[in-house]
Amino acid sequence: MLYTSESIERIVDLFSTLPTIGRKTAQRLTFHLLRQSTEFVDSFAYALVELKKNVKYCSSCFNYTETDPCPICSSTKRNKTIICVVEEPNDVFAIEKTSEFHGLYHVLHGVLNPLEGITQNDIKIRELLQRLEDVEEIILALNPSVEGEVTTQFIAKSLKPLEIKTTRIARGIPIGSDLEFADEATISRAIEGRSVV
Amino acid sequence: MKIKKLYIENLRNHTTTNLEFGDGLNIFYGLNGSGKTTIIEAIAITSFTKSFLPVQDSSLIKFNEESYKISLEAKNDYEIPYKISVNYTGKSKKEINSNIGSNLSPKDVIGEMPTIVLSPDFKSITFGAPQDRRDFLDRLLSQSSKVYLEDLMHYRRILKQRNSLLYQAKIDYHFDKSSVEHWSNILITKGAEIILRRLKFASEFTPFFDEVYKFVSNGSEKVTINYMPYGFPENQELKNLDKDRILEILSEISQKNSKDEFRRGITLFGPQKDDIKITVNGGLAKETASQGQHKSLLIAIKFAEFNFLRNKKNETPIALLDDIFSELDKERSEKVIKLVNMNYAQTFITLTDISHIIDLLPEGINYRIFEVSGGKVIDKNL
Repeated sequence: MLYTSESIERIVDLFSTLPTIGRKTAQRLTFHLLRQSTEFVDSFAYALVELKKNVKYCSSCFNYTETDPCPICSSTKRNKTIICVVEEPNDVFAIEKTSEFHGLYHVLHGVLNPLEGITQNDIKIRELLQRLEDVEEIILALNPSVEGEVTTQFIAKSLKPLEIKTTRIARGIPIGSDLEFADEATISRAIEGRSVV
Repeated sequence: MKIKKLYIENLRNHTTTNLEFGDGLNIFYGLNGSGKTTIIEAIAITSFTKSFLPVQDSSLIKFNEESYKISLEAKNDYEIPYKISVNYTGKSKKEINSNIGSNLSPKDVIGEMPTIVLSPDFKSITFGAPQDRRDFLDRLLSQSSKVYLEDLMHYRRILKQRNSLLYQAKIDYHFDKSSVEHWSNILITKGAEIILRRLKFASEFTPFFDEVYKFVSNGSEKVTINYMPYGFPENQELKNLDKDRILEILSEISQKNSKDEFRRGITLFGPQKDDIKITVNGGLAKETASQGQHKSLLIAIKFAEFNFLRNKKNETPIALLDDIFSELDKERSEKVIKLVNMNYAQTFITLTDISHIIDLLPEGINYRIFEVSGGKVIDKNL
């Protein structure tokens, strides 16, 4: 045993299972918690329990929510004929921050990835196909990785027989960065995906 | 490009080595295992982000040390400074910083400092396996085009994914055609991009190759490089292939192989199986060339690579000649020296016996000599 207390050992082990946290940071967090007041630690623990108890998937878009359907899906101000498909709940936050998109979302919770054993049955593609009533456009906003690309193709193909307008977000030079600083590969992709002005 | 300074820390048998180079020949001599090649390797790592030898990065770290570090300062042909440092701690990824930015990935760095390596190991290009020739092709094209490099990296990822799907299907005895199909489609589209670029490369490279070979061999033999995309019909004219036709052919090959792929659980078509054919006067070099011709071919390929890169990048590449003079006769050695000299290439040479080369150097050539022993370098010009 490294530490003089089994409880410390246990919590360090737990912290170090979290993403981006190594053993050293886990140890620092643990000792930090020990220095805090009992009320703080209690409310911290309570918040953790409540988090898992209250937050669930929205039955429609599969984003995290405490109310089902989620505030976005139940809002009367949103355009219910457009659905933006994203990989992870984080991506919803990213797009919401722009406040430019007023349609609904659909979170896949992953992309096709045979190396990690993720097939079309493991992500929320079937659920997407079941909520297409009154939908006029699907925007595919997946990451430009190889796996994102295949998933985009897969969904586009599944939507084809339903004759719903299917689009994907543009790829290329980020606005706010200069053309001269973009690498050749990015520029050539941007030229490939050029649009008429 | 001219390298001005190099700093090496804990790489192989070097503890800390600080070097300043001349713009012409930089000659390193010393016994076997003294650490000559390590200097060349360090330059290669800053250029390709990995060694030119087939070696694990973790075994490059000096025994009992935790990390290696290389940093390099150079100036390009327009005198614009280029700085890069590579740091490897044995864990996760290498940390690469340059004046382009920090925490770079290999694709940001490859091609920034064009480099050719001439080492006896590369004789395998003319008489080794197809894999050796593909490596040559991929390394050269990756240095000359970032788009190719990115396509290649994506292609390899797709191939890995598709293979894992096929392998899973094989052990499960269950073949879900639709899930494989999407990976096949993207494999074919990316594969076609790669084939198209390799085709263009072969036709552009041959004139460079032929020219240097004639110079090296003093002869009139004609050499060519022909690209052989895997599985393409024998009677297929390769010259004017367009992307649509390549896509068509790849889909046909894919369909032909689909049953076998399921049985064997692996992808059986695509540019990862391509080859190039090197011919001398119409005969296949691998089968008909003599030992001497193989040596001339190696020199010609590498300096054609030099000329090709200079032409594509508008930048004089760095030449790394690792232990090559022990393999060459006097006449060919002289040709190599002439080639680097007339191209104004900054050149790094390793050899065990300095007398091998001193007599060959022409009047007025700019050179610096370094003695290497036990991981320490002595600049003989100071």
